[in-house]
This record gives sequence, structure tokens and C-alpha cells, in this order.
Amino acid sequence: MAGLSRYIVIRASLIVPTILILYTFVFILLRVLPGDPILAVVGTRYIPPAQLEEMRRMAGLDKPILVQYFDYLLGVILRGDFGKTLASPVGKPVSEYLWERLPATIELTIASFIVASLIGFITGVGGALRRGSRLDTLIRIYSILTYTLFIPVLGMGLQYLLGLKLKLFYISGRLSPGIHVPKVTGLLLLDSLLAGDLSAFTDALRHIVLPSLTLGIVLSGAYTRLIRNNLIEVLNSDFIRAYRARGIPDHRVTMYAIKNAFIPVVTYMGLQIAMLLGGAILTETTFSWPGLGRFIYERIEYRDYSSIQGAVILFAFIVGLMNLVVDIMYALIDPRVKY
Amino acid sequence: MALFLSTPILGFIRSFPQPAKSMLILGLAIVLSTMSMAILAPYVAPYDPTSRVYIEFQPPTWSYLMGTNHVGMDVFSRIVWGSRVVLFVVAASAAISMAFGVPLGLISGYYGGLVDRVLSIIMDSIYAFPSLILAIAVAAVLGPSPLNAAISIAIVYVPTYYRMVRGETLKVKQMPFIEALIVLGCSDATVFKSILRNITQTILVVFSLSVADAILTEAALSFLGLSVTWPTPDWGLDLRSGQPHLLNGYWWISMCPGLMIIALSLGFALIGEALSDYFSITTKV
Repeated sequence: MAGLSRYIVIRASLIVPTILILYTFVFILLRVLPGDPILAVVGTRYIPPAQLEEMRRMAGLDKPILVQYFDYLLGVILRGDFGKTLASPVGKPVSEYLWERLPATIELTIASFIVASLIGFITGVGGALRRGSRLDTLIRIYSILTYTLFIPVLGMGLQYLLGLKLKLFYISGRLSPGIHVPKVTGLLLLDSLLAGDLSAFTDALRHIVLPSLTLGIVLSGAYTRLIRNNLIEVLNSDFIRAYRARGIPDHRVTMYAIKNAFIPVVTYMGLQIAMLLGGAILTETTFSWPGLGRFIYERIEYRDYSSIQGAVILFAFIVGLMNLVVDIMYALIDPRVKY
Repeated sequence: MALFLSTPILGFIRSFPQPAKSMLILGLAIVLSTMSMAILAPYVAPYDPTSRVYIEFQPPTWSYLMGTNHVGMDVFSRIVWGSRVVLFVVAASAAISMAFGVPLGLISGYYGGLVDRVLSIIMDSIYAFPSLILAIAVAAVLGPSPLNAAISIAIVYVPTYYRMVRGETLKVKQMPFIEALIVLGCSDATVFKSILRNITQTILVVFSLSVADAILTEAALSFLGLSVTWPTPDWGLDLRSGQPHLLNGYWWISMCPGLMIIALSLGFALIGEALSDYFSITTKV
């Protein structure tokens, strides 16, 4: 395993430039774009120039741009400091909001990922094993359709049918009022189980079903397509023919094929994470889910530029980290990866 | 329209094998009817989209095809006029991202070297980032307006064009006819033109698929209040403003514009799928 830990260290050090480029890109973008963030917060109200200067100083916008760049970066890395909010309430550390909101997004993302991979696995394997059948055509249409499903429309449709008409699930929020779960991880499903509170667990579950189903369905199409195409390719490969020639039963051959078809799927998960986080903004807004995405939406209304910057940069760090995790998983699954 | 009905194009469509042909025809039908709806909006829309024309929350009837909204505006008229905003933003953003992505991809793929490496690293990093979050961040700083929405969407899709064009250029560059052009002493401009002519199919496929995606991004920006402002008719904005009323059972206010977003995006996606089947190009957009 010494080789593997070396591989992880090398991979981890390669992630640093990716994160730095993302940070630099977001930083430059937010500054070279026309539009003064302070004036955007102020809007049409009259604010004395002295107070404007004070706001500018608080946001760190009065310093030279290079100083701003390193100040912010060091603040984020060393102290987890993402600057201060510019609007209602003014001057609160952005990081407080970010840490408060992050668990909700993580919980939603994990749940949606499970939904997406389950649906993708079933439809993808189904399509590949019955290639060319009517079922396969239906599955192919499904995968194109999910590509164009607009998250709020699907979410609102599910809210209307499963929430409003059938009353099976809750349509917004994470927990019913009056229910309290002691905070350990911030993931309500996990925390309620840790506390042994089964009624809180079912309540949280009935809240997360619709948002995770929405995001999961939208992302599942990509998995369907990927698993189907990979499996078809593997089923046609020489080693499968060799297994068959040796008289190994069909269901076992299929199992081998599925195992091999999964390797590229893992790489794709890295790309999916970006889509998952992007989709989270719309899902959280549609379902009033109090995560990072909804936080960005709320801050847009206040034109609170420093909060938006903080959340976007946190997202950049998460994307970089998750790509590292995927790389390591890839190395563990595929023995051909050299380390 | 005359262009689309001319015989070479009809012949081209006929030459598609099934099921790509049905996909192409369905996709073209959706896209062309939306485009004509946008162009002929004053004649198609029965009412003024921004004024109160009837009681609130009227369910769909023959005179109000998609009902009225929470302030008594005609939902159908709003959808007709709203198609202009979507198509404008998407067309503008596609033009901007192509104007940057295609030449940069060509230069990167053709010359290689340091420029290629630096550009590739930057483009890959942008590509890895959640595109919607990026578009939101840019739009939030630029301020809400359709043009700003177009710029934010354009930035997101530059890497998509760049990566595809760069990859194709690398392939085409090695073909004998390009080598021949270089040996003959043709200028770089001539060589580029020749490469470009050979990768148009790929650009066409990437265009259709990324426009399908851009429609959703545009809808997302206006859903989040980063494009037009009320009462300008816009599909994403109407979806958002209809949501509270959906939960009271008035589904038509939000679902009609919502389904239009999906339909238009599906139209472009079908065209893209059909074209990539036909040219047998595999893309990951």
C-alpha cells in the first residue's frame, strides 16, 4: 500500500493548482467585471461618501488588487475566513453562514447521488441487456429527456402531485417546526438516528424525498447512458466471449461485465459533482431547502457580493476536493492505474 | 424559412436514417415553431402580455388558452412574448462563446506548445466548475438584465467549444491535405479556414447540444431573478412567480411556461442527438 499512499500524495498536490486556478478565476472575474459591488448593495438609496468608503474598507476593496488576492486566499486557508457580509445583517462573518448551510447541501447531494445512481444503474443495465428492444428505446428517450428536464419544473410537478395531492411528502424545508434534532454532524438523517429519535428521522426523510428525487432524476440520465454504453462495449469484448466459451453461466458473466463497465462511471462521477452542486441551487430554491445554494439565492436579492464570492469559492474548494476523492477511488477500483 | 424549405436541405433531412430522422424532424418542428412564435409575437398573442385582461386565476378556457395568472394577465400571451427573451439570450450567448471558444481552440490545437498548455489548464478548470454557479456569480455582479445574462452564460460555454474544437483540430491537423497546404506555403489563415471547414460538423453538434443546455441556464438565471424584471414576460420568471400559487392548486400559471422551457430545450437536444448520430460524433457536453 506504500505505492497507493504515494499516489494519493501526488494526486493531492495536483489538486492544489486546480483549486488555485478556480480561485484566481472567480476572484478576477468578480473584479474585472463592470459594476461596483458596493453601489450594487446600496442601490438607489443615498449614502454619504464617508460611509461608502467605510463599506469599501470593510469589504477589503480599498487595498491594491494583489494584496486583496493574497489576503483573501490566506484568510480562507488559514482561518476559514471568507470575509464579512455586506448586507442585512452587515458585517457578520460569511463563514458562519457557510458552515451553518453546508451540511444541508451535503445531505441533499448525497441523497440525490444515491437516487441518481440507483435509477441510472437499473435503467442502464436494463437497456444494455435488452439492446434494441422497445424497452431500450424507452430508456434511451428517458436519458435524453432527463437532459432537458428543468429542475424547478420537475420539482414543482412533484410538489403538486406527491406533496399537495397525495400528501405523501413535505414540500419544503428540512424538518417540521417543533421537531428538534441535537446537532452532531449537521446531517439530519444521521443525527436523528444517532439520537435514537425515530419520529424525527421519518420527518426528515419525508422532507428530503422530493428534493433528492428531483435532483436525482435529472442527473440519472447521464448515468443511464454511460452505464448502458459501457456495458454494451464490455459485453462485446473478448474476455466476455472467452468466459462464455468456457461455459460460465450467463448470470455470472453478466456480473463480471457489470463490474468492468463500472470503471469509467467512477471517473465520470467527478464531472457529475459539478452538475450536482449546480443543480443543488435550483433544487434548494424550489424546495426552500436551507443549504448553500439557497444561501446564494437569498444573497442575490441583497446583492451581497462578499457572501456570493465566499459561497462560490467554497464550492470551488469542494469541487477540487471531490475530484481528488474520485481519483483515489479510481485507483482503488482499477488495478491498471499506475501508482 | 425559405432557406429551410429549399431542396438541398430537405434532401439532407431525408438522408437521415431512422430513428435520427424522426428526432431531427421533431426537434426542428419545436425550434422553428418557437422561433416563428417569437418573430410573429404581436400577431400570435391574443392580449397584451403585461396588462390585466381578465379576473385572476382563471383556469384555461377557449378565450384564455392557458388561463390567467395571479394578477389577471393572459398566460398564453406571456409565453408568446417570453419566447423572445429566451431566444435572444441564448442566441447572443452562443454567438459570444463561439467567438471566443472556436478561435482559441483552433490556435491551441494547431500551434500547441506553451499557449496550448496554459489555455488548456484554464479552460479545464472552468469546465470542472459547476457552470450554473459560475453563471450566477457573474450575473449577480453584472446586475440583472438579459444582456448580462447572455454574457454570464457565454462565459460558461467558452470551454465547451474550446475543448471540442481543440481536439478536432489536433486530429485534422495530421491529415495529408493539411500537410500539403503547409508544404505549398499557404498562409496560416488559409490553413485555418481549411481546418475549420472540416470541423463544422462537430461545431454544429456542440452548438445544438450546448444551446439545449443554455436554455436551461437562461431559465435558471431568470428563475433566480437575474435576467429580466417583473412584469416583462419571461418563462423562467413566470415559473418562479407562479410557484406560490401552484401550491394553492393553480398549476397553469407556472407549469405552462415551465413545460415550454423543457420543450424548447428538448427541441435543440433532439437536433443535436440526431446530428451526432448522423455524423457519428460522440460528444460529452
